[in-house]
Amino acid sequence: MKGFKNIIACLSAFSLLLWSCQTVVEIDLPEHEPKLVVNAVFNPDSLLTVDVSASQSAFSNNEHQQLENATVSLFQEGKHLLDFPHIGNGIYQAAEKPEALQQYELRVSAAGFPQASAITSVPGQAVIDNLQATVEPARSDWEGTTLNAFFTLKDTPNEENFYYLQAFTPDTTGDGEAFNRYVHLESSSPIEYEFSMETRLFFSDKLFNGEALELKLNLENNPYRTTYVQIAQVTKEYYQYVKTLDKQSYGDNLNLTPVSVSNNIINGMGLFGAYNAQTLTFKVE
Amino acid sequence: MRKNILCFSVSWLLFTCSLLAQSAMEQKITLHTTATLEEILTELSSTYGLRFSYSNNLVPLQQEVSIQAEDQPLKLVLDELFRDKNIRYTLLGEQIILNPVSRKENSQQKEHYTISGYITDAATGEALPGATIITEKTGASANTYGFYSLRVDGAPLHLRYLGYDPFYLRLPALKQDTTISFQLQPAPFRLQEVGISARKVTDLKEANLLSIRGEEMKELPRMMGEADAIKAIQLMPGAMAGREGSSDLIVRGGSPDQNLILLDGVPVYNVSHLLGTFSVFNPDAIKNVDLIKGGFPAPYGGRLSSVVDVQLKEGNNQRFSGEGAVGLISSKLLLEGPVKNGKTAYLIAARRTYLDLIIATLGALSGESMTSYNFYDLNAKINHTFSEKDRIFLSVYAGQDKFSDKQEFSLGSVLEEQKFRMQWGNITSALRWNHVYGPSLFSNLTFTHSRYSFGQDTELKTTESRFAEEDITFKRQVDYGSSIRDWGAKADFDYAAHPKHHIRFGGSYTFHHFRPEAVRVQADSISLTTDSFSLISAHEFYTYAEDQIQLNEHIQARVGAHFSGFAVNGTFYKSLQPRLALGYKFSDNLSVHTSFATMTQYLHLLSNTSTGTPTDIWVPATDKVKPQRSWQVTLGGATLLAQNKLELTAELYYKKMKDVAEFKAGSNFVNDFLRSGPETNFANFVAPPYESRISSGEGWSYGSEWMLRKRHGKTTGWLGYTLAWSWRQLEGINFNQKYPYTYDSRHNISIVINHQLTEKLSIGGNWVYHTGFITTLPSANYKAYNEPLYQPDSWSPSIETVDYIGEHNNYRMPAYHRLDLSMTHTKKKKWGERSWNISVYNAYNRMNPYFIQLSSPGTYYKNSSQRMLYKVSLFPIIPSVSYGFKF
Repeated sequence: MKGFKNIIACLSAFSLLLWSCQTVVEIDLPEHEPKLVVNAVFNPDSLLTVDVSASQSAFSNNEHQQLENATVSLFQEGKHLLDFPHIGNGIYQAAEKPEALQQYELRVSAAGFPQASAITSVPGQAVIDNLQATVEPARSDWEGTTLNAFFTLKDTPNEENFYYLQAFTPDTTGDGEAFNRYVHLESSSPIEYEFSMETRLFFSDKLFNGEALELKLNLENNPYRTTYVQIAQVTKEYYQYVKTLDKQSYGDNLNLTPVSVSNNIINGMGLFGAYNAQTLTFKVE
Repeated sequence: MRKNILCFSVSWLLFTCSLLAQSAMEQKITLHTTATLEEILTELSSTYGLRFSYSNNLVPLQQEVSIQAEDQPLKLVLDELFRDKNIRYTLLGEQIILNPVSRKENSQQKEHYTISGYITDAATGEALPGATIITEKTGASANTYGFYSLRVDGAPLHLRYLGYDPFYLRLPALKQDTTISFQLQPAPFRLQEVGISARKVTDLKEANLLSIRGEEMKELPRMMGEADAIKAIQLMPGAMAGREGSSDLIVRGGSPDQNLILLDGVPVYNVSHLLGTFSVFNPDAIKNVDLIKGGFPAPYGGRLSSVVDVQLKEGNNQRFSGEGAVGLISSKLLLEGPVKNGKTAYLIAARRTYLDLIIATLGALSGESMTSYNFYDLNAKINHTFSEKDRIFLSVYAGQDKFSDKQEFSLGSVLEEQKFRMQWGNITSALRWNHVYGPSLFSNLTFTHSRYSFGQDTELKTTESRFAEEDITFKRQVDYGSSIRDWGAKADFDYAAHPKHHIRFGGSYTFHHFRPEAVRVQADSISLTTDSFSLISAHEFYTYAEDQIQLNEHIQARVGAHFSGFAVNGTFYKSLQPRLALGYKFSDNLSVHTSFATMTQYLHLLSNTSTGTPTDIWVPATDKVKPQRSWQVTLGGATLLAQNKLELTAELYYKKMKDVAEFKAGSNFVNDFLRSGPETNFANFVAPPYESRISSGEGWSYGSEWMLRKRHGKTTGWLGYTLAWSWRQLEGINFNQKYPYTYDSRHNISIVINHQLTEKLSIGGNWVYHTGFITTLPSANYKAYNEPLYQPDSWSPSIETVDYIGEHNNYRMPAYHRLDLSMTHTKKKKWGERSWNISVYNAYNRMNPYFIQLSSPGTYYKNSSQRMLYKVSLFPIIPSVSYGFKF
């Protein structure tokens, strides 16, 4: 990371004297009893999809075991809506899409495991206005111009809201295959993202609750080509899961308190969350 | 009430005369016999060359007495011989003159008068809290300010204080209540095996109390050349350190925030420098440190587990003097002296680290710009004696740690400048007024101010240069702050109502200002501000009363109550806390005691780390978060062994705590800081109000503590052992089931020894052992959810595995043990005294576990398909040297 230097040097300016040392410790932990692992994040633009696997011993480095014989059902207000067919390798997918502002309950069972269940609600779309695109001049001889994207995010007052941003641009591979190429974005004004998962940058409204926030993004793409910015409103479960997973993933030598990843699966492990995304198009004409 | 005041001049006269006699009277006598007084005097004359002068007609020497004295001072032996015999003795030159006690004198002795005044150090004028003044039948000890009050009947007075020559005095016949102040002479060199302590461990007031004087503290081995009060206490039974090297104090299974740490009576909220490596107390300025672990006297309240009372020196009112030290990472200097006629004295002590200079040098050598860190602390005190009745003290403490960094990056025409600052520190001040209303009533009125704040700010400035155009500048500043500020007043009264009753009463009021978390983001024209829990004001008060009762020769009781209240956000909490203690003395050398105390704590310290850091947040109880409460019972005993040279104490305790609080898993500022460095943006870590981020529940702890201590002579030190259990049960943690507290440790042993080899050279060492702390390890792992954007020509890493944290605190780490050694060489110089101290921390380089961690998923160790468990150790052998001076 740019700018990150030897901070430890300050805490242990006596670095000449102190050092940390790692040794391997032998340990006997009780036998692990596997539980159902359910991973599903619904959004109104995609088919209902659920990934079912089994947990394993903490010391295991093996690949996770996908469960192909599970029964996965969807309920709404206690009423059975559908059963998910298995489409292969522990992935269960229905032909329907979820609806915004609806609450869903997922129940998963498999032989040898206690039944797992979870509830989530699909949020509405974020309210976006005042889209504008400008050219950011090249910062050096070896850099090109980039795209500045401006828009206003109107946050709903008196409630906690959570968002993610990601950017991409249409592209093709050498074989002519079309795909969306990831575009690096920097949200420098007035807030930064809090944490990320792959290409998604997450933030909450804690600094601007109920306000109309004018966001400025710098997108590393040719300003005269189309760049898509996806902004999604996400459930608290999804936000918390990504936040805690991110923290757990970088636990290093001074991580004294192990971070427990947020888990909303009853009698199981994993995530049942949702988001509702809209895609904004930016291009300088 | 009329009184005859014998001021300093008179006391000095008595004192000086007594000193002259003292050497002869200190002569050691061994005598085991039953015979008439005359026969015994003859034996003393022939064996020790003593000369007695008396008249056979007037002095009745045919009475038979029995005496057993082994290596006792002559003074004690004579007192014992002539007790209740109506015989008085006086040393005149080399002769001991015996006279009958006249009827008049006898009748006067039967009348009781009260003497009162201050007991101070003859060399510096410092008050000697805890100094004892006793007669055969009664006794008293000086309070925190050195004031005593004693009902006397003409019997000789004995004054004692650890590290000072004992002082014997027979008062002339008193006709009324009298004010007498005493000055004790420091023992020049503590080589004598004096077997009598000032504060006897068999006294009820010593139960559950551990104390260490500033001088004793400096005899212990030092870490990086720094003597440290908190680290000294951590070596005592019942108290232990948190993570290695930290200034956390775990007392009887309580958490670090449950200790009321008082600096001259003012609460200090954060006692750490350098993230816990050193405490904020300058060792040169410390007079005495008391740790009360249970059976809390009624004046104390507001924390559940302990009171750490750090008393600083007041300032030398006899002469200008100073001391200081130069260590590996810091230096300190203390200056003190009188201002006018010895009625006013001042003390100023300062300490500063030069870590920033070391880092800057390293940076210059490596050619890299490096971060800067420093800390300092300053104690300033002044006191003035208006009269024997009135004294006033003003003290100020200020300390701060500061970390800063500045970076510049240039990329083409763009210049980016980052500034980062983080600072934290305490400021405390106290204005005290001691007033003596009469021989039996003493008061102390104190006005206090205490502030702890933590702040961090980052500034990012980007400037883009353009030809023929104005530069474009973008600037963003993020400030994060957390603070607590108190204003308070308290009044304490000591009332020696009756020889069998010592009453204390008083009250206190504190106005708290909390600002748990505040963030401000300023970016060009936009400003965003958030207070996760905006400014909170709270009112806290308490009142108390306590009577220490001498029921009879054997039974002593302390009966009291502490009533406190806390008003915050329209909610009012109140708590009546009974405080009871009972002691039974089988003899002067053997006693048992029991106590019961309840405590209420209206503040919570929320921390994401398992060791104290400046980012810990002090927050008040509110309508949603209840105050913490506890009750504790103790049963103990104390005895003096080996002719009173050794103190042996034992305690059993059981403590129950309610509504203790901990942060749920969430932001970990320190980890984020270490990961991101100056780019850490604290605004990102601000979370919803703390009330929704904590778990509350109960706690239990119980155990037994043993201590064998020697405080006099060439060899001093102690052997301590603690057997303890500590549990927690918090909502939402460990599936609501009880679990061992993070610092639960079954066995804890400490051995501390200091030996004075010669007048110049002393050596010392300590060895500590405790059962390993407990920690949480994952109990399973499972597949992570991720949704990568399909990129056919590139691969971006995603998290594949989640570690499932099941049972909380499910793994006990290996045992901790460590040996520290020290050697001090002191030499007198024309200008004063200098000393060299060489210390070795962790002498046999034990790799103690700092924490335990599972290897990351997908990493392989020696081709094993299993993930491995690592023990991480932090502190290896650390030698250090420091130079000290005194003048």
